[in-house]
Amino acid sequence: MTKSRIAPAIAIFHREFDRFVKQKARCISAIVRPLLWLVVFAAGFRSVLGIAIQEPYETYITYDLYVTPGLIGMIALFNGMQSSLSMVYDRETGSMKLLMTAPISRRLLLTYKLLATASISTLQTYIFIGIAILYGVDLPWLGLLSGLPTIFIASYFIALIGLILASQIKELENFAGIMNFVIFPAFFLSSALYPLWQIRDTSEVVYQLAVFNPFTYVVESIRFGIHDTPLTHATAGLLSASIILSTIVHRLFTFGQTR
Amino acid sequence: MKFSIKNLSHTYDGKVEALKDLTLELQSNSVTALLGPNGAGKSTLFKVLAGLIQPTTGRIEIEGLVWDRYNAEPLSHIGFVFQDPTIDRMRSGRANLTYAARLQGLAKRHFQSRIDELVDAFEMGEFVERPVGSLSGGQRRRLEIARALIHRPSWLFLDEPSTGLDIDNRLRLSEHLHDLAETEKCGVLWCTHIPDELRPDDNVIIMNRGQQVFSGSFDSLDELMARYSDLVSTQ
Repeated sequence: MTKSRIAPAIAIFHREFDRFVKQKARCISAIVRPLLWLVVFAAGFRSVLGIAIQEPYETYITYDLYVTPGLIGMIALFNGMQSSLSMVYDRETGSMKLLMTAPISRRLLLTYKLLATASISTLQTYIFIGIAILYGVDLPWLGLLSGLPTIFIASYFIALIGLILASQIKELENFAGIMNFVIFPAFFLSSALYPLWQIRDTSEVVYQLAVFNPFTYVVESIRFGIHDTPLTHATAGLLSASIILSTIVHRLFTFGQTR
Repeated sequence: MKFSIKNLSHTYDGKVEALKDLTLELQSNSVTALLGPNGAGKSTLFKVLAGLIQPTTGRIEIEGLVWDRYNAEPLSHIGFVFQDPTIDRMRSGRANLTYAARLQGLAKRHFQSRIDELVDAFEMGEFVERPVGSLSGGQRRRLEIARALIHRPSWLFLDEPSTGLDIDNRLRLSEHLHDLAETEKCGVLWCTHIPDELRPDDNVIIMNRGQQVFSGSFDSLDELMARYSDLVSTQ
């Protein structure tokens, strides 16, 4: 029988999308969670907080516009972590063995898995962006196009971090704990909710933590991306980090032992 | 098709020697049973063959091709059935077969007829469209074996596939596996600790403490059983 190079990629993409659609709670909460932040949290602050002029904005903006890139990052963060959680689940239930005994290189397998996760995250973020625009968030239309590569790169980067965590965690219960220790600090100690200069005004320590937090660069990359500036230092940094992390992930899954 | 294992050793955490300088050659188109008491190294050997753990030393060759972590191609000649279920319970039997076929690199036009062929051969028509979570243990096993054969492998490796099955299902499974060697023209390596599942013309390898202690046909039953009983009683 003739072998198809694309068939394993279709298998992994189809399974990831199938799983996402079948897990209805995951599917709905992926959109409802950031919407709650936008409708409840950002609405409350909208009348209180205006954000001073800073790049990439050309004028004073409302808080809901400021917080939207952070919420897009939040979607990618949750989906990336949940996807790696499913990898731990696959390892516990044995499904991972089927993947590991397929006649394709592990580097390719992992790349397909990461691309599938990043695609689902990107799809979710665009559903959210659509609802946010309908809600009244004043996002530039051109930004929908220019934001696509940055959102995808950011999602891929987060999926990579999730995969590194998944490779190190042997039990499903431990992973739930780790998720709480990763997702919430990553989100709150970043520029998702407040600009860095404002954080610095309040606490130098929190500011330093935010500067060293990779999620800050995810949020800033998305922020510039959806405001028509897809090529920034943050995006280049994420891309470089993704290349380095890909090598690490490949080594972890090739030289590590899979039960 | 030639399958050989040469000087294979594996030590867990540098302490527990699970395989010791194991050398084996498997015969194609026949059933080879890998017998041994608990802790003999059968499951470790199986994990090494599946690439789930790396051997400390030694090599595995399939028709002269070395199978290691840098070269996954030889895996296309093998189908695996693991001791624990490795099937996606949320998806239907057909979706599981399709997933496995695509992972093996098969194009849709090739695997659709193959799936139908296997559904008939394993009498799965009644349940193949149902979610795997609703199937019985015996049905799941049939599905897993069918899945392992989706790409027409030259070798089928099974790690204690009868675990958890009742006597009826065990006997059916044994019949199926023996028929497979003929109909699918593949070599079957079957890890088990239940000699009753074997037939007189099967090849037998007995392992103990990571080493091969017997290799021959199941015909030489008396000698074999005496050795096997000795091993089990000394555990």
